[in-house]
Amino acid sequence: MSQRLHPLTPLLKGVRAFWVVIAALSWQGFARFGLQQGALIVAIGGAGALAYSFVAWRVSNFEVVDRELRIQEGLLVRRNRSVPLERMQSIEVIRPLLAQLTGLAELRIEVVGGDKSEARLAYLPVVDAERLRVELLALKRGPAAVPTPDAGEDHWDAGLPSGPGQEAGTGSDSDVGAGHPGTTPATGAAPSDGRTRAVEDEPAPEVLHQVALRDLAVSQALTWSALLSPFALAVPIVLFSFNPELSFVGIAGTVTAALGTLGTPIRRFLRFYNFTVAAVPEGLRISHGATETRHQTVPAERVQSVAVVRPLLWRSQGWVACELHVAGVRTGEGEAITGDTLLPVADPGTAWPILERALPGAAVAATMPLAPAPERARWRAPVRARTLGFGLTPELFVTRSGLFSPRVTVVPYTRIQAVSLEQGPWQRRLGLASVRVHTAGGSRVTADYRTVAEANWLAAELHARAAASRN
Amino acid sequence: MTDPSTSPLDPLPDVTWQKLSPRYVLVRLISLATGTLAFAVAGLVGWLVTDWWPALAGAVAVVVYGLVRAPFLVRQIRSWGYAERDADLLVRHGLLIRRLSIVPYARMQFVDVAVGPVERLFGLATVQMHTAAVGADATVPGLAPAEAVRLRDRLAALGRHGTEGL
Repeated sequence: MSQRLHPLTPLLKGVRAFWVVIAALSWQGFARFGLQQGALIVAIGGAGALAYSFVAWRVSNFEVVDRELRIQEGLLVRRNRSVPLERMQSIEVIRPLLAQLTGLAELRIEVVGGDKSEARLAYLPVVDAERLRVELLALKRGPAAVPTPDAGEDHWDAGLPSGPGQEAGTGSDSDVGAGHPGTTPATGAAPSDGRTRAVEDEPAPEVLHQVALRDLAVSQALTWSALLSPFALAVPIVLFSFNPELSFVGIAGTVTAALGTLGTPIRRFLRFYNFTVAAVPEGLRISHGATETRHQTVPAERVQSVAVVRPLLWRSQGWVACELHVAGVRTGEGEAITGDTLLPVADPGTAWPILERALPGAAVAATMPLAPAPERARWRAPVRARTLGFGLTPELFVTRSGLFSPRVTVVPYTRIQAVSLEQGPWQRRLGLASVRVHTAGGSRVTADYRTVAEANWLAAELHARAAASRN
Repeated sequence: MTDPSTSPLDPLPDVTWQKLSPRYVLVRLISLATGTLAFAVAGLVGWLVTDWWPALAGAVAVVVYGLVRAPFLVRQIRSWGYAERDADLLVRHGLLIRRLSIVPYARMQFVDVAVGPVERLFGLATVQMHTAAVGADATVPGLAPAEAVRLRDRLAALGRHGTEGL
């Protein structure tokens, strides 16, 4: 049986639109139209918004059918969203100020993925929202689930709003889906003070590698923007010496632009200052930063892909940089865990064991010979075609591309969300196609410009291997 | 140009592709015509009122765009195909840039069934299957409502296996 949201919903949502109308009109608008006309415009706009929210409320409903939450909404475009309970990552009760005053709450359900992936029910009476949350969690755990007092239960029981005594502002308590010990609130959802406490409580993590300052400085000096900045600085000096009448603004402009090119490597140097990778029970802990120290825990089971970059300019030193992508789960207060830099610079000897810890087998995969793109691909990408390649290991899919910074990306078959083939008009003429692998991290992983036969084979093979790895 | 049914992008053998409802072509054409006309009329009225010639030129340009776009739109929709297999949904579309996606049901995060205003007139619906990867959403437009609901239920039921789809 489908349920409606609380009848006060259109009023609460309408009030929000009311403020928007006032803001849009602004003081200038009031001054121009006069107070009376201004008030009339606000009244008409407000009434329109209220009428719209009322109709929107009339056509919205939700129901729990057979282990699935269904939400129906939309006035012009009717949308019916079904979220299987198994997919719910977190269920939160959120109470904005207006909702608190009226004893209502919003229930927000998050699934894995980008920003779009959420379902929200606004507004419900607090009691109903809480009951629905508990009900959904119980259903999610299975039909015969008896609530056991483990840590997770304590977390959400303690978070139950205690009526009017709750603090003002946005009250919220979140609850990461059961069965994922790696994503306990300490890793992502906990506020910063909780995070630091967790760091102190644990035994000192085993430090795997700390990037030497000298290496970091040299590696950032060996970037295009750093190498070109002397020339960028020389331009205004030369200009000025030849033409001293040049306006001050012109000089200042060119100097700023020159400094701008130097800014990126300096910012990166400060960001990666003291870069430390340590091993913790749930995965890797990465901390870095000169001005503000950032700590990030990367749960091993959330790593979606890793990449090894070898910039041409670092070739003399033989250095590599490593990246990793993690599936972000947005939770109430914390940001998504989106890990990016695993190592800003390292020699392969230190990089491989760390890469291996992030994703077993990745070090071997990243160094193995890859199948080059066909000769024909040169017609599509004359220079880059030489750098393209892909490889398959029993567990991993490897691709390579990039001219100035060749990048080898490694994706485990278990992490493949979907496989697709892409073919532009020029590729079709040449009988080429690209195979793309989609992962939850959102990074682009493609085997570009293969022959159509090979691309078809590769897509089918990746799909089959991904399916086999899931079972 | 070759017929999409003989598209060389065909990684899996023995796939029976289903086409979109022919009425969906009408839905898209009407949407295109409405948008085009709205802009054209606005430009025309603007020209009549202000006598500013760029408004008229804009209106003409919009109409020309609509007329040129229409045949491509028809072919684009005809090139759209989907196939339900035991464990995955195949969707292919695109005329200039061709795409073929294989999305396993096990990776499904949630399913939307959406019905737009023109779609409702023609009794059609769009099913969209979302995965955790941002670019890997399989969309099948132009389905009869009963078919859309059947597909939705099937996707939801099959997607339920497995734990979190990561």
